[in-house]
Amino acid sequence: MIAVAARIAGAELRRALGRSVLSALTLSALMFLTLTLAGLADTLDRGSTGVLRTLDADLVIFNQEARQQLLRSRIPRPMTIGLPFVDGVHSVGTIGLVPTSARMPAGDVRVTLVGFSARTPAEPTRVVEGRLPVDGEPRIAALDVSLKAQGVRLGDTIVLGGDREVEVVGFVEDARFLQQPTVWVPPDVWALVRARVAPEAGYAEQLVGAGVVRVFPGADPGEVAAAIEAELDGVEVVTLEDAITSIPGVDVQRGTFTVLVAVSIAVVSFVVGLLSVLEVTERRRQLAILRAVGAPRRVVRGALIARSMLLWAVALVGGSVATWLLARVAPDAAPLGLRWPVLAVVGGGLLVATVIGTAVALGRVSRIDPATAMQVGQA
Amino acid sequence: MRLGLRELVRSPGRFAPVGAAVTLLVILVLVFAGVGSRHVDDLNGAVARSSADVLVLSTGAQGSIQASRVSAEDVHAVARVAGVGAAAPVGEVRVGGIVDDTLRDVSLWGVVPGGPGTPELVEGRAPRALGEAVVDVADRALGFDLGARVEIADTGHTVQVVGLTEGRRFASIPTVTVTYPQWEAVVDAIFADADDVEPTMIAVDAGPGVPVEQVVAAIGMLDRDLVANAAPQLAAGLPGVAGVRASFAVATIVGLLAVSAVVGLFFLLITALRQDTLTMLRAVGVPARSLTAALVTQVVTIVLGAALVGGVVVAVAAAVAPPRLPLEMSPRLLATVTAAALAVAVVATVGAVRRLRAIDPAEALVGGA
Repeated sequence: MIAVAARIAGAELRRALGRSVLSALTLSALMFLTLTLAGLADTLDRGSTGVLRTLDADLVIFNQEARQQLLRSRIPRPMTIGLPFVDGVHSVGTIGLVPTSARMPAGDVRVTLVGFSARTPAEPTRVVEGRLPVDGEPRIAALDVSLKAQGVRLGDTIVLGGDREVEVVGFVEDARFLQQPTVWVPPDVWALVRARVAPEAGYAEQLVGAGVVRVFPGADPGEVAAAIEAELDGVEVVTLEDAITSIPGVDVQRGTFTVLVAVSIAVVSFVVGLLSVLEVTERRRQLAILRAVGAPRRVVRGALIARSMLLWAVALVGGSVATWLLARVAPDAAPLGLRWPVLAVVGGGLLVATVIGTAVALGRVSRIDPATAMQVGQA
Repeated sequence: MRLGLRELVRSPGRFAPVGAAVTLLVILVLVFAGVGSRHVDDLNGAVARSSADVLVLSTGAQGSIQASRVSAEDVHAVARVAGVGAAAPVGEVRVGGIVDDTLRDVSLWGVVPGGPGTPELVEGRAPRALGEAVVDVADRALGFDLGARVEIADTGHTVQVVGLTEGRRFASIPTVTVTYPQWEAVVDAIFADADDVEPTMIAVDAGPGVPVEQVVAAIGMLDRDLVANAAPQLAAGLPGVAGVRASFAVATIVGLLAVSAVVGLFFLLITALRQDTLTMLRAVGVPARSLTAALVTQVVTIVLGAALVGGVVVAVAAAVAPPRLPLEMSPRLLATVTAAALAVAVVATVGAVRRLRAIDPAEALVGGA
């Protein structure tokens, strides 16, 4: 039955090739729109949150006054020393952020300087070239790989905050913060640069930004967070995901783009419904003949569904290719990319939209009376 | 033209679906443009609409206000530059603001009353003393309104709202402007262990008749780590602004492309469906240009209808949208989007028009063959 329906759908598409191509192109344009929106949302989100997503951590410790803001958080490093003795805590690290500039071969660029404790959950996990600095190395840094566009290579020396020279020993990827590339340095280098670019914060090597904690496998992060808050005064402990959501703009951006992607998927559903209804209206007589010669209703409906599925598949490929090409030619300022997980999720959403759109026409197919085929001159 | 309009009226079922699809797409394009514009305003409105002609940041900040620190000596040096009418320190810091028992992130700005950078108000008066503040009308829904008291968390300071600004937010969070001494006191309370509180930047007014470019260039000649920018230029270059602007521009262009695809496909299909009727009309003497005019009239009517309905829907949505979904709607935005949608839709009907003009009236004599 399914094979017959698929054969009918394939034959219809082949015999009205021009129209099929047009329908596929239109749906491709709509899927291109949906995938572009999803790609923009995903890339913007990743560009804002990479600095936390790159960590192999479960919890983040802020001082209460920071209200979960990485740039504002300040906790004394000694505070974290006793944490490994808290039930469920596997390991602890510290991380601090400060916006500053870096002098590269191609000129000065805005960066976020990240001070982190090596060999702890505060280390970035996606090292693509070279290595990470270790604590105690005085003039060493790892850079976000996007900074290679500034002409910087392994072994080069760059200047941080106007006066601190560091040697580049590695590159990390997908570790940006608020759309800015990050530079990862040991905590003492970070403290020195921060003292220069944010003098009101003063120089305090033992005052770091936030603590990051990995819990033992099987431990409940919520319970461990509560245990840490009970142990330390004046801190707020949240899950890594909550800390990511608290990054400025992330929540608003996610909400806005989710609505936009949902509306564009609804438009796809609507247009699929429109195309299907037009198809059924135009072929009413042929469908009636098909029913009159004994084709079960399921075959006729199946042919319509198969046709929509084929259009969905072709349009998804077309939309994906168009989005991929746009990402190649779009200006650097427009952060557009298309990852497989995004394609899978949005493609699934578009499939559901296609099914819903087709369902509108299925009702019309069901109402086709085989006796219509006997009516001479009526289409 | 009347032919096209009559068909629209007599066959609403045929055109309603494409009208609805185009309306949804126009709504999407309006939302892209509206959200993008509002996002940019929320990010940089306080800078873009600064009353100062020029804003001066530290060189190392690379155009990031958060990263900029200047000194009191810098302010004096800039004030002495030829062509500068007045110069004053401006402070910006992110703090916690408590209104109606709700704690929110707030961008706290400090300006010298009456000096460069003093915000223009739409209601109330400017802050003159400690304990007074102005806020933006966009944050009224959050409780930041005339008479409201804003407690600056963990500092012991509370300010009362005495005036309202418009379109003057920063970093997409409620923006509170106080006097510079008040700002210094707040920062001093937050960083109690710090020696000095330094201004974030310097606001500059050009002297009477002095071009802004001349002031920017003159400040650039100072032997200090300072960078001067006209306020609009600085606003456009703030971190994140270019990305948001470009992202929504890309989405808007792709949305218009989708409008073009839907309109183009529909009218090509409709022309194919009506082939026999159109051939008959040509055979009885209706010129091809009349049929073309009818088709274009239908396209224009559908797009204008979609723009009208879309405009109303987005305007209502903008009025009721929660603060976390910033949306803006203006007649200018609607006009721009309508014009763009009309242009791409009319261009998209080229295929249908070509098919229509290719109809041979003689085919009517062999109809059905």
